[in-house]
Amino acid sequence: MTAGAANRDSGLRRVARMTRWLVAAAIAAVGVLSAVVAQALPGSSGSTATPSPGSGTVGVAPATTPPAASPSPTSPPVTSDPSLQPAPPPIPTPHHSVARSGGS
Amino acid sequence: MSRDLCPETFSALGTTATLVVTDSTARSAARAFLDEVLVDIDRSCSRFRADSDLERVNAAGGEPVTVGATLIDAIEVALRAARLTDGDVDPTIGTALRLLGYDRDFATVAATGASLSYVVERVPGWWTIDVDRDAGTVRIPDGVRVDLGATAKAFAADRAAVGIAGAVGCGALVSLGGDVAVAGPAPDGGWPVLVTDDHAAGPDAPGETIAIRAGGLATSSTAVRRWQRGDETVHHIVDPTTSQAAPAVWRTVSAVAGTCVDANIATTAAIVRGKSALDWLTGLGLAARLVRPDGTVERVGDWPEPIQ
Repeated sequence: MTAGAANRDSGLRRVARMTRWLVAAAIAAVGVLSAVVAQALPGSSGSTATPSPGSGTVGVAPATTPPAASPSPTSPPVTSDPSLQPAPPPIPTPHHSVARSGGS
Repeated sequence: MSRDLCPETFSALGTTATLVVTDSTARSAARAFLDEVLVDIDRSCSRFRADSDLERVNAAGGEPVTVGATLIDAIEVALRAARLTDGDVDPTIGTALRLLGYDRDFATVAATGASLSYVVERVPGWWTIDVDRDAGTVRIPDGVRVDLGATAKAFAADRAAVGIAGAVGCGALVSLGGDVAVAGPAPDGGWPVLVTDDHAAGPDAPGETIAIRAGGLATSSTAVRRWQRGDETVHHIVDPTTSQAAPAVWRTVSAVAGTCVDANIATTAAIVRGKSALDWLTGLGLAARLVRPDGTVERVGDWPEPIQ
């Protein structure tokens, strides 16, 4: 084997080693990031709304269950929810009402 | 327009239910759907029947209880309400309501009674409720009682209106105790609703008639569901920071939102927040109407002026 070929093979081995380390490091980084995201944004198994009584999730925001870890007994956990959603503005109407909204 | 819409009103959940649909031929199917929702909600969320899922949780002494999906949905709605209002709408007011004298169906709560003896303290807190949707269980600490009165009717109204529109295929309005949800195609000009202090008042009660086309309209009031204990007049909207009836800065608050639940969260929290409710509602971009005890009115957002 010529000196040039030996140098080439040695360089290829170094590149192969570096590639293996990079792949391992990338896998480890993905794992760590997944764990961090999973902890920061706990998910839930919300059901799909259907037109069947008693099975929908109407009015329920994407469920954000309390953290799985035991919450402090004296203070609320910090979570984020979509805010209250506005609707098209009401309009005054001269028509007779079909329902009443009042205290109950 | 509204002459063609025939409301059907009946008793349900200890209050009044109203159903209106845009297609008269769909009325019986819509009523059947609504009845199923009401039965399910009552069986799941009532605190006045010992066999409800909620009462089984309240009586479990801190142990997890397997419950149906409806109670889990309803509690998650209540927890979201608590989070969005920084705890001003808190479902752990059950014990406070009992101590205030609201310990049975309101129709049987004595109008007058002896003076109350209680301690001013914060309610246990919504974060003590542990919901495990995957396991289908709910657990609350021993001694804590959950009450879903602030949000369950609105939740049921949303569920029924959307369900009827989807299953029956017409526009629907469902009102449960004055918490109004609409879904599906609205009638021309929208759904006309009278906004007033008491949902059970007659059609000529003082107030304003507005039309909505989507979402929900809710009203909370300190003028109804009141009772007397000693010299004190008590109502059902509890301030979680004191366990007492919220000071009546506002007699009645109404709001329109994307769902009846969201409208109800806004109005209940506004009663609890008192004066600061004006800025809070404005910041949320919600249309709302707030009435002081003397009858003067504040309008927030796009809430319209009444027709003179």
